[in-house]
Amino acid sequence: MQHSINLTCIRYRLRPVALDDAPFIVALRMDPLLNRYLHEISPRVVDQISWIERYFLRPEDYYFIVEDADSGEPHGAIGIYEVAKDASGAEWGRWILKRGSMAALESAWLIYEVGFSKLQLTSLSCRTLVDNPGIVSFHDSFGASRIAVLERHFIVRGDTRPAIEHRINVAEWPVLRARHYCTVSRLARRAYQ
Amino acid sequence: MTRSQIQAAVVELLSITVGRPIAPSESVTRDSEPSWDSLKHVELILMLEEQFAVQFSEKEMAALRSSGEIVQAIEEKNAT
Repeated sequence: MQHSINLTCIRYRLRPVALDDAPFIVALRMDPLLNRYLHEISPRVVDQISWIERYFLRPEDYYFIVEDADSGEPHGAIGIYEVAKDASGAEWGRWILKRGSMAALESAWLIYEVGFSKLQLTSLSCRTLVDNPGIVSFHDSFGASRIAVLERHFIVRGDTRPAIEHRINVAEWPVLRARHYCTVSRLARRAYQ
Repeated sequence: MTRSQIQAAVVELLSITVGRPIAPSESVTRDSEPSWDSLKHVELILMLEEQFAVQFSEKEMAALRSSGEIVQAIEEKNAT
């Protein structure tokens, strides 16, 4: 949907995806190092533009660009979707950051903040391919609880693979929010020194 | 600080990061240790910076992918 949510943490911010972002998204999704654990997409920018146009028409789907808060340089993309009708929960994903980006922690923090503070959700889940242990571990380290193993959940390059579902509930967020904000602040302080 | 002292301190902090004891002679890489994820990497770097009174640029942080590279980087920073 064409939402208007913008949110800044310290060094990075989330802003709504625009049609102009299509080349950047395609470039990210075509990077073989970054797309190993993601659904394949068309390499054509026009197809990505069509996808974004269809996304604009889908209600309760919030797709963002992760960008440097000072320079506006794009670092990646992330989204919230599958929002329950009663706003009791949603899924987040489509998470991809360019090589060498340090926006992982801040962008994860931001997406939970959007979900809980802006969208008033009661829980946020994410599903990660089991073959992507670094990201599974990231969610564990972030403080999300493992909820389920979803067999045959992802189709990656024609192969059906299981996913691990993690979840954070709104009641857990204030403690995690403060903990990770502290790390983000320390990291940012160094960058500005 | 000698190389072996740096190595011992790095191994200690890395053991905390990956959640298991690491032998001083063991070579640990981010690729071989899935629990050394990007969040824990940031936390590790902040601990290393505090412990050794050094600072890594973001480019350096991203490039540090093994215990050996970390030890070498700290040695180089201490030498300058």
